[in-house]
Amino acid sequence: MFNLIVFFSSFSAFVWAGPKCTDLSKEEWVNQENFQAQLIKEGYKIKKFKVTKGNCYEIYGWNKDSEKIEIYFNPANSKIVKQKKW
Amino acid sequence: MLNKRNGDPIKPFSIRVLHLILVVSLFLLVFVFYDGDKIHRFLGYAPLLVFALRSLWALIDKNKKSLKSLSSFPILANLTHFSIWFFVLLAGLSGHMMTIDRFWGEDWVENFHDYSVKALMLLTVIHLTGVFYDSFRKKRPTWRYIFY
Repeated sequence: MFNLIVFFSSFSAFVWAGPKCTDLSKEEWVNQENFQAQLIKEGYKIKKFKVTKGNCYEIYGWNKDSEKIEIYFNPANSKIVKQKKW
Repeated sequence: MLNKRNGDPIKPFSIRVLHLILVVSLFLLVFVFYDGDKIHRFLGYAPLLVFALRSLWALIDKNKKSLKSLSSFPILANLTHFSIWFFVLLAGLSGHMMTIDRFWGEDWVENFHDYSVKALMLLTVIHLTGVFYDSFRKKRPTWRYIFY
């Protein structure tokens, strides 16, 4: 029984691998192409763009200072929710 | 050959140290520093290092203490142990791949890493179940032999 508790509770550590960004429906999100175009205008270089299970726009790439970054954005207002430098 | 103290089969000191490093590093990686940040990426090499040292010892040990240690276990236990080592290697290598530009951000690499870690978690539960079952069946503190 104890082992089962350990087993299931361990999943909580990584079953939600990223943040949750919005509860708004996709109709209220910023257009993906426009979003990426704006980032490029701001000096980002995008290697990979994803829409995550947590309703985020996520990019892997480089910022204008050529720092390797992974950023989660709120797709409704384009604000940064979480940022990691690699 | 296992050390014996009062008739108990105590694991060689080097195995105990490596096991402890593996357990502590995996625990920290999964439950504390699970966010994939710099600490996670740095600490992620610890299980790989343990794997490398354990493998090296098995290769160079003249007295074959490493292999004799394995022969003291039932076959299912050895199967579990080898599976754990296999997924330690997979999780570590896939984690390292995630730091390489070519594979960074790729879903298949991230999923590979995720599933390897989940397999490790399941195998840990099986391993612990086996240890406590052995303890219950043979009426001895089996869980303790890997520590002292």
